[in-house]
Formats: sequence, C-alpha cells, structure tokens
Amino acid sequence: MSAAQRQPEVQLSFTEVITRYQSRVYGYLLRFTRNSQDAQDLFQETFLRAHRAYAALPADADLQAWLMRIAINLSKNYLRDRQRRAKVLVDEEKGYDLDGALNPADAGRDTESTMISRETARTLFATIETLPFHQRAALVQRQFEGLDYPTIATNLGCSQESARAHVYQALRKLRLALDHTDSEAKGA
Amino acid sequence: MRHTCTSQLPCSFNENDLIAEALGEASSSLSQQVRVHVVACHSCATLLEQYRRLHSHLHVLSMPAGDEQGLLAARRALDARVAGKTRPRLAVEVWHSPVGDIRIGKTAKGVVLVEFVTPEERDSPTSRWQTAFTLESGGPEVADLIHNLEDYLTGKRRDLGWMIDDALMRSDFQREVLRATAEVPYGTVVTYQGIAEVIGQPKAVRAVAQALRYNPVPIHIPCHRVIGSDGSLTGYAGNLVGIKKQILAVEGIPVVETSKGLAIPKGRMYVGWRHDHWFCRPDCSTLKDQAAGDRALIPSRARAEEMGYQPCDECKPHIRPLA
Repeated sequence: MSAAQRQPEVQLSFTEVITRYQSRVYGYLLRFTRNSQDAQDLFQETFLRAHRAYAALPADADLQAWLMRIAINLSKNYLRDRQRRAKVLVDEEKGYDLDGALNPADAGRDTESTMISRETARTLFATIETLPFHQRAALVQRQFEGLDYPTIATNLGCSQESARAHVYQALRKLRLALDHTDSEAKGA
Repeated sequence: MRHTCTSQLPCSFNENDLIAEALGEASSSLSQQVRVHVVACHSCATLLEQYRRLHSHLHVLSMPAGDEQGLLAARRALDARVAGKTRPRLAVEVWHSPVGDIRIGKTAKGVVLVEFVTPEERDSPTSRWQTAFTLESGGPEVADLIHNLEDYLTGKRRDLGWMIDDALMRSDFQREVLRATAEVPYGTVVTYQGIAEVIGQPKAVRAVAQALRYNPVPIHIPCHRVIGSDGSLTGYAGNLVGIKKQILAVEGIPVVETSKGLAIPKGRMYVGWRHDHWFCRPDCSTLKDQAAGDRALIPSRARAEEMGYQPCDECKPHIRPLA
C-alpha cells in the first residue's frame, strides 16, 4: 500500500546494514551480558533474525531502532534462559568475568576518582544480575552507553517517563546494595 | 510500577530528585532546590553523595570494553551464515493498468508482491524486497497474472485464486490480519475494528490498519474492502485512496466525497450478519447488538441475495428496500 508514499532512497544491502550498525548492537549486547561469547552468539542471532525480516521492512523504517529492538528482545530471552540455568548450576554461574578483558577496574587507573574496590564492582554486577529485564536494559543503555531517554524509550518500546523510572529504580537498588555491603563490612 | 514504591523521604523530599541531581539530569531550578535542601538535611546529603558515588562507579565500569576481537569473530561467523542463505528467484514485471502502474512479482512458491508504483519507481524499485531475491523479468507466468488482474479490474473475474508466497509478510500478527481480510466477500466492506475483533484482538485497531497498510499483495488480499468505522477510505494513504475508490467501484461499492474526504455512504448500504447470513436495513433495531466483527456493509439487495443472505424479519429489507 505504501509504494507511492515511500521516499526514494538508496537501499542498503544487508551487508552494509551489518557494517553500519554492528558496533552499536555488539556494544549493547556486550555490556548487557558482560560476556564476550554470549554477546557474540546474540549478535549473530540478532542479525540473522534481521536478515529474515529485512526484505519486508518498510523503506522508511528506523533501522537502528529496529535492530536494537531485536537485540533487546533477544537479551530478554537470554536473561530468562540464564536465570533458569542459574537455578540448576548455581555454583558455575557464580564466577563473574571480573578478571577478563571486561574488567575495567584494573591497574593503570588507580587515581582516586576511578578506584573501585573489587568488592564494590562485584556487588554492583551481582545486583545488576538480579534486576528485572527492563530496569537492567534501561540502566545499561543509560549508564553504560550514555543514550538519552527518548532513544532508550524507542528501543524498549515504552514512554520516556518509564525509561527514566526504570533507570532510577535500578539505581535505588544498586545504592541499597552498596549501602548494605558497606554496613556489613563495618559491622564485621 | 513507580507508584508502588514511595519516593518520599522522611523529610518529604523526593528521592528521584536526588538521583536526577546526581546524574546531572536535573533542571537548573530543581538542581538549585536540591542544593539548598541538602545543606539543611543531613540524610539527604548522604543519599546524594551515595548516588554521586554510584554514578561515578558505574561510569568507571562502563569504560569501553575494547572487545574488537569478539566483534570481529562474531562478524566473520555471521557473514558465513548469511552467505549460506541463497536468494530465491523473483520474476517481476510492471503492468500499466487502468488504475495506474502495478508491479507484480512471483517466486516458485507463488505471488509474493503486488505494488502500486509511481513513474519514478517504475524503473528503479526503491523498496527493500529486492534485497531478498534474485530478480529476473516477468515471462509467461507473470503475463498470466496480469491477465487475471485485467479480468478482475474489468469485472470479469471476482477471485484471483492465486497461490501466495508470504515471504514479504512482516509478522505472524500481520499474517493473521491478512488471513481475516482475505475472507471478506467480494463486493462488501468491513471495518478495521471488525477485523480486529475477528482476530480476537479488539483493541488492536491501529495495528490492524498498519498491517493492512503494508499488505504485500493488495487486490488479491482485499484490504480495499476494509474501511474506517465512520465509513472513510483510510489506509490507502495519500494518492492511493483514489485507487481504493476505483477498485471498490469495480466491485459495485459506492464511494462519495465528504467534508472529511472519500467515504462509503453507510446510510445507503445494507448491513450483513456474517455468521448468520442475514441482512438488514441500516436503521434496523437489531443492529444495536451486532458486534463489529460480524458486520459487513452490502451495497444492494441483489448482492446480498446473491451471497445467500436472508432478509431480516424485523426490518424487512425485501419489502422496504433502500431507495
């Protein structure tokens, strides 16, 4: 139906689409999963799904928002699967990837402002693991990727107010978790 | 969600305002308020400090992960998987029809594409479907399809009877909508609301309209037989509304010009009950109980009887026909 109202534009081949948006998609998935292998798997799955649907996508669609929605939906399933697995394999899931390439709190950044104790990082990551999907996805996009609320809202398919509320809820929980750890440390 | 947890602190200050200030998201007036408040309120000052520290911790933890290797590996694996997928052949042709240029495409599975095209788009298609296929020019099979369409547009044929390839349908929801639309009988119209009810999602009226807007095989799947609840010919956006009118005229459905644009004169149409196969005058008292999903507007008594619909006992359209 839309033939006549489409703006003529150069249509990107799917390979060009991947090249243009791969960093954006991979960045989100990596920061969401904090695990290179999982991010790589979800990355492939995202673009394979997109590949199947690309031909039927209207010419005026927002490609980045569309791809991010696919990636975000897959990260939601990932979280669910992971939580299910975690119930069975509690011990194996306990090791956070703090020593690998993803651990930024390493040597060479030992100025006061960037010092984070291993304990703090562990608490924060562990708490992020327990956040409900929307809070986690919103937090990752706002705090780790620096996206603005309108973009996060588009990606999550919610209002800007909800996007902000998700981030704030997540921050409250993180603050409480740190507060709790601190008082435990003092009590010990 | 937000309302279930209280944002009020003991001092009656809002915790979210402290978070906004810590994140640097507060407006200058809010920021001013927060700074004045924390001078006097010790617990809020502590909270604000905690949120500032948390924000900076998260900032440190968000340093670029620098996983170029991971991205490269994922990209290589993806390229291999995408390359393994072959692109089906699409025989495609533009036909200069009486209602404008129409592009028709067919794969081995069936008709995949019917598209109204402007002169600029005729030679260089701008939509994405071409990325999914290996294109070739029409041939005798597409010529047959064009004959079918020609017969339809001159009223010699009511049903195109094509096999359809649904490769360009966008979602299962859209397939549902299109399936329900395909069942609307020739020479009648229903509403978007009606389709939404038929597929069991009465609130998804706008989504139904969107799904029909991107119908990849119009005419065969008769989205032209779906109209707004007020009778207006929405959906065939822009200049395509004119085409919708022409196609409806082929099927004997009247369209009139109103102050809000082209519309079906609802008051001059019989109302059919799709389940029970009756038809009523539009002023029949039984219609107040009719669900939108059960309703079809029928332009004439002859058409209703031809479809096997019985006249209603209440309003007796066979004795008191519409003018």
